[in-house]
Amino acid sequence: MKGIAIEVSRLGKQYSMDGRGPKRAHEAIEQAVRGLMRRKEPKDPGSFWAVKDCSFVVRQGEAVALLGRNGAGKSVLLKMLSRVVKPSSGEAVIRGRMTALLELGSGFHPELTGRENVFFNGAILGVRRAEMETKLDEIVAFSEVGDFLDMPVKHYSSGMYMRLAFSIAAHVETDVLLMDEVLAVGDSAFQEKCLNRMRRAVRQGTTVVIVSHEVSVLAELCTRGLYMDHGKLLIDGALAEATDRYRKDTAA
Amino acid sequence: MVRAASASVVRISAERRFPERPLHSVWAARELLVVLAKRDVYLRYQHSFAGISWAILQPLLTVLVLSAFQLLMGNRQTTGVPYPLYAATALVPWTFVVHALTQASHSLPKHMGVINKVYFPRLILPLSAVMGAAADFAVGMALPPALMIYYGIAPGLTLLALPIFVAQAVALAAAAGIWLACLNARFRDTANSLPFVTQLWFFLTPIAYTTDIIPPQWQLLAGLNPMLGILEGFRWALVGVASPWLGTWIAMSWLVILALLGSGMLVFLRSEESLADFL
Repeated sequence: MKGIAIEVSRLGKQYSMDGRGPKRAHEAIEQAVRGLMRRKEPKDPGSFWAVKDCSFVVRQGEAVALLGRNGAGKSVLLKMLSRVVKPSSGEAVIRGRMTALLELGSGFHPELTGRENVFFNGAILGVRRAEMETKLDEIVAFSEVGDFLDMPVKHYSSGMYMRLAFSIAAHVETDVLLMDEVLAVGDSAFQEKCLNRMRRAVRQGTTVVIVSHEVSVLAELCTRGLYMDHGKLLIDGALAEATDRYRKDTAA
Repeated sequence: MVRAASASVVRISAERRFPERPLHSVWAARELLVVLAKRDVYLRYQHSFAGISWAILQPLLTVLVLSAFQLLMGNRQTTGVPYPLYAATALVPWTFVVHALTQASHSLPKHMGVINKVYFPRLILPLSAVMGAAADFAVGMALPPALMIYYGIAPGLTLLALPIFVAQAVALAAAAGIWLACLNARFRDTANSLPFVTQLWFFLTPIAYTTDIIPPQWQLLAGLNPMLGILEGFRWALVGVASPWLGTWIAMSWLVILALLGSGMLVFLRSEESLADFL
């Protein structure tokens, strides 16, 4: 039996309806004092749970699809796992190097060249410059941007931009990969290339959790499916089970 | 494949807690710090004609205006150092600190997009803003020596102490920058009011005037302004001007800076994990 890569127990995220933290000074001071005294703050009644009581376990090397309609809480769940957002309840443990791709090309600046953005994006994903340098040729070859590498990305076509962004992401070696609808970009030929790259990662034992609405793509990569609705994890089983429910709910 | 440098076990919990080994994680992300700072400087001057020479033009023009005023007001000389040089030795570190903490105060909203999508130690953001401003500082530091050559003034052995005051200026910029970044994430009033506040601060600090203008009973209290010890330190190191309070002011400045830095780090690290929620 393989080890556990991701263990999530009763994870939840509550947002206040106005979408912000305390606004007024005295509230903030109160909160800061409470924080210093390590007291739990009372929950605001005007709030909702974007994710509630989610528990599941992902074993090493598993490829799991996370499905659900818009607003079901998939992205918030991934954001909590990637430490971008702090949960309101519960806990999770992730073993191994984790890379979260909640978007492609994080931190890309239009005024900078493709090359500069590659290194910046790498740095933000936690990849050392020296290692990025050894991979640069491969990333450029994969992205097919060729001679445009030293041109500011503001002059790139949107396809080129996404291809470069995906290529960086695809060349980050990691144990646990979280992806939020960044699975396949570009034209159909490039999408096929992206998928091949992903298949290879899965074959090599990378643990993957993918949020996507492309059921056909998920079917090629994943064996297991999680289905979420209104913040709750409703199905944790075979991929077909989750995709059936997803099709049923979106058809209605 | 490229190896991602994230921790091998990540624990996520709703518990309010202090990040584990926060300085270690900042150190681990030092490459990001440098890349961000470089990018800041590059983008600041990319579409600029004068480029990084702005870092010298800005204090130079201010020195010219202040010197013109000094002449009009009757040219009172008490320091034995030509007024333009006296003003410039303080203006260059002053410009750096104000520039750095202003940039740092904007650093979190400016990078909101990345904060919302990628995890990395958020302390990197205000620190890289300070580092980017330090590049301008390094260029601006050419101004006082240029004026010293012009006036034929050689530095004394006190020059050896200059690194202390450079470090002090950087520490103040970082301390204030971390505090302001934190405050501005919650209250945008912070960055909005900053130009006004720094202007008042300019007049309350002996940059354009000499320290003997401060009434004797206020001399000690004036040392609570952390800029005072730094600026007087620069003047002493570069041109040998020393007020009787110099040592006290430098020590007081360090105390204020270290208190600001310690408290700022605590507040920042405590609120960092919920940044994405309220930015």
